[in-house]
Amino acid sequence: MKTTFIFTIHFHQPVGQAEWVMERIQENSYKLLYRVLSRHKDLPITLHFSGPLLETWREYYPDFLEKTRKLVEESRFEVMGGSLAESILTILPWEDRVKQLEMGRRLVEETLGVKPRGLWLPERVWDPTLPPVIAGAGYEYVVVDDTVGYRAGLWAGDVHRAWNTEYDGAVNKVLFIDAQIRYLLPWRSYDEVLGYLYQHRSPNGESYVLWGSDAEKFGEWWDPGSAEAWLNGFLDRIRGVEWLELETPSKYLLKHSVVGLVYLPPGSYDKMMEWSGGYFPSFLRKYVESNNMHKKMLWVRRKLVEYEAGEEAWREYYWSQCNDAFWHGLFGGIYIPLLRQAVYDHLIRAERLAEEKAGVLSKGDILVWQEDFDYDGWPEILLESKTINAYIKPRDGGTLFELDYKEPGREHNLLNTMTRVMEPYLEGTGFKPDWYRRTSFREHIWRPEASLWDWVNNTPFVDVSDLALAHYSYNILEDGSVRLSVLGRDWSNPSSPKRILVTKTYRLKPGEAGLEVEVSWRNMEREELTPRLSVELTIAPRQPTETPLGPRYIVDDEYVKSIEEAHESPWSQRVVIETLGYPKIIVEQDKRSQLWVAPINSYSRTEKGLKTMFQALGIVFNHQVKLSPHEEFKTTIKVRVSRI
Amino acid sequence: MKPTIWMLAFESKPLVKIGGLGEVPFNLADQLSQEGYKTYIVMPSHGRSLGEKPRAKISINGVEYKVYVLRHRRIEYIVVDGGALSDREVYGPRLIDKTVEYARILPLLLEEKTSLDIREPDIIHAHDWHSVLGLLAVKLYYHEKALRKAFFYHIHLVSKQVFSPQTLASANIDLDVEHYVRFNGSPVKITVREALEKAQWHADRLGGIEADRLITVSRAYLREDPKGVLNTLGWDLEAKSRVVYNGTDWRYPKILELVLRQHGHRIREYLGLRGEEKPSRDDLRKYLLLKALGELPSHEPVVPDPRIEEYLFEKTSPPFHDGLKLYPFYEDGVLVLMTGRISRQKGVDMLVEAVPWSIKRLGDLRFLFFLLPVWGSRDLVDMLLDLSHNYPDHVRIVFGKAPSIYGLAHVAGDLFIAPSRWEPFGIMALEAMATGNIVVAARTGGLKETVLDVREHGVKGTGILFEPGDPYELASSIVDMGLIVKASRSRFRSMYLDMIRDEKLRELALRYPKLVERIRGSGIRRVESTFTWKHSARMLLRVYGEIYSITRE
Repeated sequence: MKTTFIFTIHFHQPVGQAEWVMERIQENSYKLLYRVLSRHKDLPITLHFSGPLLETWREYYPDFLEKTRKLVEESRFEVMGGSLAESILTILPWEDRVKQLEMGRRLVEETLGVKPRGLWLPERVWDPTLPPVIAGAGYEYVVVDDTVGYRAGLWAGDVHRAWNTEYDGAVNKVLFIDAQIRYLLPWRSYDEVLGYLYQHRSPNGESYVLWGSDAEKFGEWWDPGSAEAWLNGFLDRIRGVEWLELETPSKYLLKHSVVGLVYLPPGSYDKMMEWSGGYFPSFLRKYVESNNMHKKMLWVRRKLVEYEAGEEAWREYYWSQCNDAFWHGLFGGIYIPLLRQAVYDHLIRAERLAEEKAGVLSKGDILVWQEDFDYDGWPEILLESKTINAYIKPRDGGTLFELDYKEPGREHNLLNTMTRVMEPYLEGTGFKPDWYRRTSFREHIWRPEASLWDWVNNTPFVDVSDLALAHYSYNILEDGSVRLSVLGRDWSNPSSPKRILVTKTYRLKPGEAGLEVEVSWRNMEREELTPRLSVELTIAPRQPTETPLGPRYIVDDEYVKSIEEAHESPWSQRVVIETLGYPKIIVEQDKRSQLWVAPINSYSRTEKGLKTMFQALGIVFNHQVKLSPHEEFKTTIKVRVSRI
Repeated sequence: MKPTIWMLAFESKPLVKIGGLGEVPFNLADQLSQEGYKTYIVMPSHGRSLGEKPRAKISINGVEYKVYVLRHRRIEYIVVDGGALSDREVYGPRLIDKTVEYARILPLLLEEKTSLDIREPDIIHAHDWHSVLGLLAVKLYYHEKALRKAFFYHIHLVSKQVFSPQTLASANIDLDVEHYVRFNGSPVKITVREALEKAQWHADRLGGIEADRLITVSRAYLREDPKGVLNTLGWDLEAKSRVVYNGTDWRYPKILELVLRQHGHRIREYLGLRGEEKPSRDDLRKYLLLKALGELPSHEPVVPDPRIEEYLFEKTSPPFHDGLKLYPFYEDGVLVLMTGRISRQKGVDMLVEAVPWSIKRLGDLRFLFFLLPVWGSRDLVDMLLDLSHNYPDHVRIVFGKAPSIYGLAHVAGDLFIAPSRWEPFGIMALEAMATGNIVVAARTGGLKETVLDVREHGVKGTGILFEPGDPYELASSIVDMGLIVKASRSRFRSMYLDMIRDEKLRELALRYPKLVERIRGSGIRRVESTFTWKHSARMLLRVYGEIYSITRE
């Protein structure tokens, strides 16, 4: 009687990881693991290196990659493959799923010189339609979480055996990751770990326990000294245990094969099931920003196909599909601006390359699309010039929700902002979630006493209008401008709301790296009104990947502030956002007014209370006006990227 | 000698015109008199000042009536003023009194023919239920004299009105007189009371029974509409029923000339046109929407009913100002017109539902409605006010008449909507087609005979028909047609065509780059060829001939 133990370490860094963070993890964790693995290269340990990490090693740590390749060559290790960009396959178009797996496989072959037989599913997000894709990419087996097996009706004993699963005539072998041991190894004593493994003894070791988890647990999550000692000690210890047989998945399958056929429902590990509400694509619904990236991806894909884009554009496109920015559990994920930024960088680059190849946008051209970009059943308006994309959502306050700067090497979505939702861990903290998406050119009418902090922190009922979430109607002018309008109401006096007609005209200036928006407010009552009109913008500064030093902003060429600071002034007109090594982003109004600027921070709960993370810069222009019946008040705001 | 015709009607151009009815007696009389038939229109004054001396004064039960005989073109108008007939509200609360007094006075007019210097009729042609008692009074007058005359009852809109025996009696109609009515081709002798019972007191059915021929305005309205003539009045009237189409004297070149005479130099000045350069339809539209609409003459819009005018004055705010004056639109767009009386029958409530839906899909739409408010439709008036107040970027409503821009709107328009729940004929659709508008009409009544759906008739079509009573079908049709119009003048043509929901329409628009011009042209040609008043008068003479030749024998 013995237990087969499959020990699988998964190495991954997301596309867009900050260089200093990468450097720290490289030092603390990857070098540590290299040392441990070198010492135990005679053991059949299983490894998975994600595509983005291999690519980063190839570019920034080629010596380390070479050493790792040698180590693998000299060892008994089995290396698993994955998707190129560690992408969640279920949210990708069918062809992309195949392509991701094929390219991921090729990357492992090129960098590590081995042919992987097994597939590490990104975030282990399983979908029953995957077998043809997995088999088509040449993988024999895949590992998924035991929770998925349980949901299919398997018993505890069953999820320690291998199974066949099938879809559309294609078959994969499936092994299950054991959830319980992930809570023991490496957190508990060797005895406790071994005690758990001991319970799974079976004749000939036909039952296995598969530990599959993140490499970064060793050295990054847990201090390097203790982690290295623990892992070395553990691997030394198991050598002498006679009832325990360390094995790789391929070897296990060779010896024991599968016990039968099973059909598995969509799923992932227990926590992921909880965070996603049971189905990964639900993240696209929970986070509008996730959906935005995803639909931008689909939009760019359409262009790549239509414009017959070259390989470079496609490669950029595939890198954008890295999973980390599309979801959130406890830490980071979609809340890390750099990760979202990287997704947009790759997509915008892919798009520009395709446009250039097809020659569709020459200088001075403006293209206009009315498309249901986000698939919510209503059209969005997409304006495109050679250097700028501006996406407008009539149904959400007629706001601007994406502003892409397409200059080669400086690709950036200035609306890579983040809306703060009520996360389970924020309940009871006093946090008030955003009641509207933090995008740009949203109108409010503030109560006279409303302050900057009321705006930032979502004090209820300080906006007395129904404009912020209004469904605008729109028409496209022949010069490619878009004119939106809606009748809003000032509800300061709820029994007698006052009508105000708001029209907004978005204009891309050909050849200019920017956008001009004229906002007009017209009193539609037959009495004088004195509202406090407001236009809100949220702008994502370019975040440097090279340095933790953040951007800053300057008001009226006078007040220099860190983006972590708020600023309020009674009579301003210009905010310039600066990031080292990147062109300035200039937000400018044609007249002076009260100005509020503040960081829009997200919050995560730590042992020391709420920790803030900068997402974007909020900018609000407030106008206290007096309007006679039918009188109009106009203001024009420009957002542009300066030439360096 | 050609017979003399009396038209009995409650409204007629140019004296009183509330809805489409006011056009018909005038235009038929005009054509008939041009063909040499002496034609009179006999109507109440409705309190309109006539500016002439009465030709006679007649007193009934102590009420004095003044009788005017006026001439307009070749038509003679016999207008009676006094008692309830002077009430300014044409279809107001005293309507029954009006019909009764009207019926009382008609035999007296015939008695006074010499002093009035009018000719006795050979043909009596009554329009709609208000004149049914009048028809009956004249019929009995001649019955007593044993003179046979030809009687025609013309239904423009079936009503639910009933007459009790008391009402007839108060109109001095003897219920026990035996007289002839024509039933299934042959005359039957019955009392008036029996006729009224046979009609189940229903005014229109009584008119149909008493007349020699029952006339209405379209085949569909006669036979098909659930609320049409035979389905409401009874199929036993089928044999004596005939159809006479309405017509229109609207001709595109004529209206355009009129508009240019009225607005020409201001249009040129506004658009900066040089010399004799003629403004295009686009120019006219921009001028109307962005300028002329905001510059109505001081007396416009004219609201015939002062009570409802006052009601509206209280409630308007921008885009209205100074009561019912309007600010112009803020931006040009696809001009969508509607005209008519404010009523559920005209589909006004559906329109109110369709507009918000439409502009969310095509923000270019600019709705301009010329609607006549009446006291009884205040609920709809309120809905329209809300619509106009809530969508000031897209909707302007002219409450009342604005002749200074009515023609202009028609020669500048893109779409014309006729959302009627039922529509006996729908002359407004003809006026719209005659001036090059694409008609979006409910598939009902006369509209489905006058408007040819482009999906069935291709470029010979004049518009599009939708299922009556469905605001979403209406909105979808407006949007689709609006997209075709928008595409025709935008550099983003294919984007707009892609948005068209109806596949057939999209195909057509792709196949014919000049589809809009083709449809406009088809409308203009269709009216010229089939829906002139001359054409209508010929149809009418054929119907008269069926009876008049008999009575002459």
